[in-house]
Amino acid sequence: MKKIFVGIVYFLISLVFLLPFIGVGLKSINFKMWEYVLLNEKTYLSLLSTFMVASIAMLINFLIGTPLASFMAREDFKGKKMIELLIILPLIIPTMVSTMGLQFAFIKLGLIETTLGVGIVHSVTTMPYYVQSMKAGYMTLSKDYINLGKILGANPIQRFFKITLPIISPSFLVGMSLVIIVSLSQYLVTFIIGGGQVMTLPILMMPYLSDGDMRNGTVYSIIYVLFTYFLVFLVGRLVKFIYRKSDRCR
Amino acid sequence: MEKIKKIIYLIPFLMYISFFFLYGLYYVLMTSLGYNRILSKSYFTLDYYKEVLYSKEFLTSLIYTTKLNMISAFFAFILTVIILYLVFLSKRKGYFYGKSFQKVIEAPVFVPYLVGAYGVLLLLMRRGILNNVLMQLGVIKSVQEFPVLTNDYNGIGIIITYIWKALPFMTMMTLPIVFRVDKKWDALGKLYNLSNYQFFKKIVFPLILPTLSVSFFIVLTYLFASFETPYILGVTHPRVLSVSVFDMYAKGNLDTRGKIMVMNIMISVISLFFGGMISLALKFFSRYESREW
Repeated sequence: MKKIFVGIVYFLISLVFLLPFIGVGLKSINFKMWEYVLLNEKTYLSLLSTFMVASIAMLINFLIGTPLASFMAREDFKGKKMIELLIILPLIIPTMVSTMGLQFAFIKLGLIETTLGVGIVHSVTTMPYYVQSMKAGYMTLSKDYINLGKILGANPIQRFFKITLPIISPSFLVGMSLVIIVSLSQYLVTFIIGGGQVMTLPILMMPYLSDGDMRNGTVYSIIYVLFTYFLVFLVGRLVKFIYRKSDRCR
Repeated sequence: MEKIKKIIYLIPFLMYISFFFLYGLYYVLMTSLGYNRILSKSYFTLDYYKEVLYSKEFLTSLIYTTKLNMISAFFAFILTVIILYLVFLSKRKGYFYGKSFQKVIEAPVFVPYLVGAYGVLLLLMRRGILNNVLMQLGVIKSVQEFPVLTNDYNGIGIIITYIWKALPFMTMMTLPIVFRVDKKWDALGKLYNLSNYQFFKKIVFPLILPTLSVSFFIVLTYLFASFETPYILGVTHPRVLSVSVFDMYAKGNLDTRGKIMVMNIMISVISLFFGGMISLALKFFSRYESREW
């Protein structure tokens, strides 16, 4: 008897958590809406530009964040606290503020309303997440492996892809997934720099959502969530692919 | 030589962050102080600050934002403790394995605020799903009987979305600790003959409090500049700070640039204050942590 009661309590709590999903899911069951959205050229263009922006953000994070994370995890130096503060500052001070300040500079640089410009501001927003998780990965990495690589005559790039990355691949995966998730959920900074010209998915969806549109909004929401999961899945696959390739080389 | 080699690792990051983040902040600060003006000559002035800080609209926004955040974070805090207790209890008594329940609770973490707010809107709006269901069941007779929960003056829809997102985050941060504590101190509880409730209150709760309070401030910091939720679920007056900044900005009037930047500075200062609270909380609790474990 008690067991059933407890079960009901748990069920109700779970229901509260799932209700907004269920609402969106139920309302999206309509063949015509799906047809409209899937036949619309804009949908695919926005998916492409969302993908491009996220890729640029990932690339910049990878190129700049990785050496930083390895350095911060291994070395101790004067002013380390300052650098650490600088790393998490974009998390504390909203990037909306800095991006509004950057707008004028971006106009002068010709980066405004370009995919590259949006990718750059997204990379600033996501860098704290990437660096923090990579730092955690580098902490677990023993220096001996790298030294062994040096002795065997591998150059830094080989050492990274064949030794470091396979060992810290979980942290790399978490970092990249966070970059994707955060980059895909940005609306405001995309709008400020993209000016409505760079049509990422959130920009395309916003008019439907803010009007409480029960039709296309639900379909776009589902595409949005699925696309996020798809990209995260893709990155996971890629990391595994690199890992396996290096496995064969060994 | 070795020293130069080390600096090479740092330089790309330092250049990048100064160019694309710190410069933005610098520009915002200077504009708020009257420099970098496009229309007229630039000189030092505090007029913008006076204008904003004395305006009733700004104060209303500030109070409204803070109120929404505080209420959401506070409720999320309490509900997290309740959820943790339930999970703890179900594990102790072996009602059923808590893993699926845990998965359900953590599901909203990966949903963007945009979709979360939209889901809440569809669910709670006057011609929304809940309203329909209640009508079908005959609980309410007309649409008018259903309370206004979205785009309402008190921001109930916003608070619900915030809690819906913050609660899973807090649970995710603390749940591993609950399991670890239970494993470690279980024998002690048996020795002192503590009931499950007492065990939770006296042993588990004090040990999860540090993480909980840190995540409380993280939520506060994050929600302070959150934009999508109040944009979708809010009303025209009073408005959350980020929404009113964006609105002034989107109108593109160059005269208001100075005022916008002052509001941005205020947002940054308050965010920094919350950030300081996080590090203080971490420091304060780390003194105790080594003793407790």
